[in-house]
Amino acid sequence: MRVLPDDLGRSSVDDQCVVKTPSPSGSATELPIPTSVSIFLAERDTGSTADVDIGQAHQALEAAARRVGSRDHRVRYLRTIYIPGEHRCIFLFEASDAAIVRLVNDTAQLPFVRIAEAVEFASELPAVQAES
Amino acid sequence: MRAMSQHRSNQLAGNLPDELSEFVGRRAEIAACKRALARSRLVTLTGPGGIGKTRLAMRVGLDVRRAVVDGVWLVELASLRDPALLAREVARSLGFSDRSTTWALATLLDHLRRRSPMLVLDNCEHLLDACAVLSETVLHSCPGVRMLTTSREPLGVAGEVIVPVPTMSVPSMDDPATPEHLLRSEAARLFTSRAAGVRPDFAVSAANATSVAELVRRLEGIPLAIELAAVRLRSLAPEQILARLDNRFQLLSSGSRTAEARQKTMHATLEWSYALLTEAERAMWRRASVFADSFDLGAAESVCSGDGITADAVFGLIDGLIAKSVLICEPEHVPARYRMLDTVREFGEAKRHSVHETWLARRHRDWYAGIAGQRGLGSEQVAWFDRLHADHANLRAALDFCVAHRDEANIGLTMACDLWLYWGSRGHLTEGRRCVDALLAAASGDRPLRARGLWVAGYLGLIQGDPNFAMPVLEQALSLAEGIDESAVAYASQFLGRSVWRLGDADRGLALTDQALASHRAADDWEGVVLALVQLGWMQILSGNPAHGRGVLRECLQLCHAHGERWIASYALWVLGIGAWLDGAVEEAAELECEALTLKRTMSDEAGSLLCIEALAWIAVSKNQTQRGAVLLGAAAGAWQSLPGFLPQPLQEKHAACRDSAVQTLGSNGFDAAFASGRLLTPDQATHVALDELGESLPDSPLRRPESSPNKLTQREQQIATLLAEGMSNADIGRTLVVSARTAETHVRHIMDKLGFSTRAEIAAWAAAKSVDEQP
Repeated sequence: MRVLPDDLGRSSVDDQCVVKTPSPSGSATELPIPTSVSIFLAERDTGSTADVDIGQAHQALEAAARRVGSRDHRVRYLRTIYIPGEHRCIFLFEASDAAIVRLVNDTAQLPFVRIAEAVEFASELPAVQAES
Repeated sequence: MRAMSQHRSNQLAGNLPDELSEFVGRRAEIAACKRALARSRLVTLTGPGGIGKTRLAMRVGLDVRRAVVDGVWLVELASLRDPALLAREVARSLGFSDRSTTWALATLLDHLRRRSPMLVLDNCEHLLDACAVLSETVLHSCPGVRMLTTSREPLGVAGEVIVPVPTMSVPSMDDPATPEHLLRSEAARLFTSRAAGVRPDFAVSAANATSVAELVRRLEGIPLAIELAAVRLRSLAPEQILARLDNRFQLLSSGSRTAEARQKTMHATLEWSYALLTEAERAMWRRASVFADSFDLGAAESVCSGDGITADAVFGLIDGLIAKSVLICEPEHVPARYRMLDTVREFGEAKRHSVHETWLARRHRDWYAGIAGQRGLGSEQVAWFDRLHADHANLRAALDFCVAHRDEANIGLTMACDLWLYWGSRGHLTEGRRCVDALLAAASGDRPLRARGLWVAGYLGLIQGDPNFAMPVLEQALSLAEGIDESAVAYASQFLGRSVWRLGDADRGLALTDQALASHRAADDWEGVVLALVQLGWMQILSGNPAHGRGVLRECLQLCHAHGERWIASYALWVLGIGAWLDGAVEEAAELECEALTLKRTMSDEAGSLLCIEALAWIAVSKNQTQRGAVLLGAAAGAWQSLPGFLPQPLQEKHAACRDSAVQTLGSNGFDAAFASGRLLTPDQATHVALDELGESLPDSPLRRPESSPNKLTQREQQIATLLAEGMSNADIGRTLVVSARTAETHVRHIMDKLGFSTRAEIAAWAAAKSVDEQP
């Protein structure tokens, strides 16, 4: 069964403040504003979606994250990784919790994403220089 | 509602409803809105509830629709709460169905990219972020689209032009209180217009002018407030209405024109109107505000009766609220439907005590759960689907209530599962899946119900083209149901069989379907039997066992006829037709496909009709009617894009082979021409062509270029040529057609190129001469 909101990744939370997030029913659910964020990935099968549509999804997610983030939610859209041979897209976010990531995806009208908390290790090596 | 794809060259395309009452005043606002649309592709009308944003937007839409090439399309968002469904709701308003897992916004963009409609998004405030993202994306990718939105606050999108909607003009205190001066103000004219609706003999006179003037000033020119007051003339004189405006208005009317003050005035008017009602009418207002969008009398009698209101009394109370403009009647529906404006509904909601909130929501849910559980397959199926479609907003609200309240989730899941055929047949697959998913997460305890929810979730994913999602879910359903619910085992097996067959395991697919059929027979479930038979027949025919497949499908047809079931019968006929075609019996195949298509046309089965048109294309090519076949292939391709949908994977190689054969026979250019002409057909036209109802006439190919014929100009270009003949400049043309001057200039250049002219004067002369020639 797919990953459902209750099964989604952990986040560290301070219970100092409360913010309201709309649920699909339209009623607001209260979420604490945390002091730390985690990496989340949202994955989606793209089927026969064209490359140009992936680019548009990227733009829509940027806009959605910007708007949701402006309302006291801790969320930042990082990047999209598209795997054309497997018809899969992975959208990376920095966020306080998975519910916010889901809200960003819903706002961009990208339902049916599987969301999981992830750990990112970045290399400290310098970028590969192209041969001149 | 007719789809945008059906109006490729129709100036009056769109879905704007007729105005139910006279539109009064607002000339300055209409002009401001049109000027804003001429310079920006996104215009937002803002203002508080009751100020007339929706009415103004629709009026502007009606005014400009002749100039909008691909029509003006209204998208009503008041009852939508889930932002993830916004793009699909826009698509539905344009006539698309939700039948696949493709990104809805991408499908919408693909369709709008080549078109120039105006979209009117009404009531964006509760979906502000989603509306903003959608608007940005559409405007960025679709250069021909314009958008007019209404919202209580701006969307906050770059390039958005905001047109605040003010209150209507009221008579000045300094003006003499004469009818002539009074009727110069919009507010007084609106009052008079609405008063005439309840008292045809009412007129502003020297005797009542002062009272009317004071009344509209006291109501601050707020349209909804004025309408609520005007209907009281049925039983009161203007002086009496004025006298009954209580102290709340005296405190408010200090001359302040702030938005907050106007909201308080609106609220005070609603309070005043509420206070004038009987206790039973007030209760009816409170209770009827539970309905999302419109509702019928049966719903009102069931939901709103009780605790002092009998079911018999409900109609009289509804009638009374209609007379007082609290409810609006929509008599064009049968049975008649009623609805409240959002501002009025919000007031009624606020008046409900919290202790009644859940009681009323449960009654609302129970009524619509009852409707959901009424039907499945059978002779009344289409009528049931139509009813569910009319009540969709209320179904959604009832299910949202169940999602939001954990102890209601089990009832909600039952209701969502009862709707399993409806979600797919009327293009609500995404919504159905999200709803079932949410309720599965919230529901507890009941193992048979959970098993049912899982197989329904799997089924919806499967027909949405997501077998990778469907298979594990159906496996889980099967595992959960074994030993406790034979019906769930049967359906889970059946759709698991379809999933695995689709993913390449034909043997297991057939075995599971056989097993499901046996279970349905044992349970005497004729609906399950016909569904399994048509699935089995499909698999048998495509697996190279046509004789067995035909036998199974004929049994299916007999059973369908016995129960008056048409939907499944039409699919059985379609599969039989494909089987006959594969066997080389092309005449028999054509008859079967035509019979299937004729049946599907009566049931508005869009996707099913396309399958038949596709099959008839292959049959035509087989019968060496290659031109006809190419046209039908084009028609199907165009329509698949609009749905959106897809040809089932096992048939895609047949489609490719047919196409290759047609290209070989007609040559690339000939095929392209016929295919392109087919793409221009509306779904209705495609059906007529497929059923050979147009005889030998097929639409002309757009790739033929008639020599010096005015028909080679597009409709827009012909419009512009006519305006040039009237001496208009590019700027004038732009203002008239609500486009920029630069766009007008581009069109003029195209006209010159096509007609071989080098000056505007030549175009003008040609257009003028053409106009004379066309006169009777």
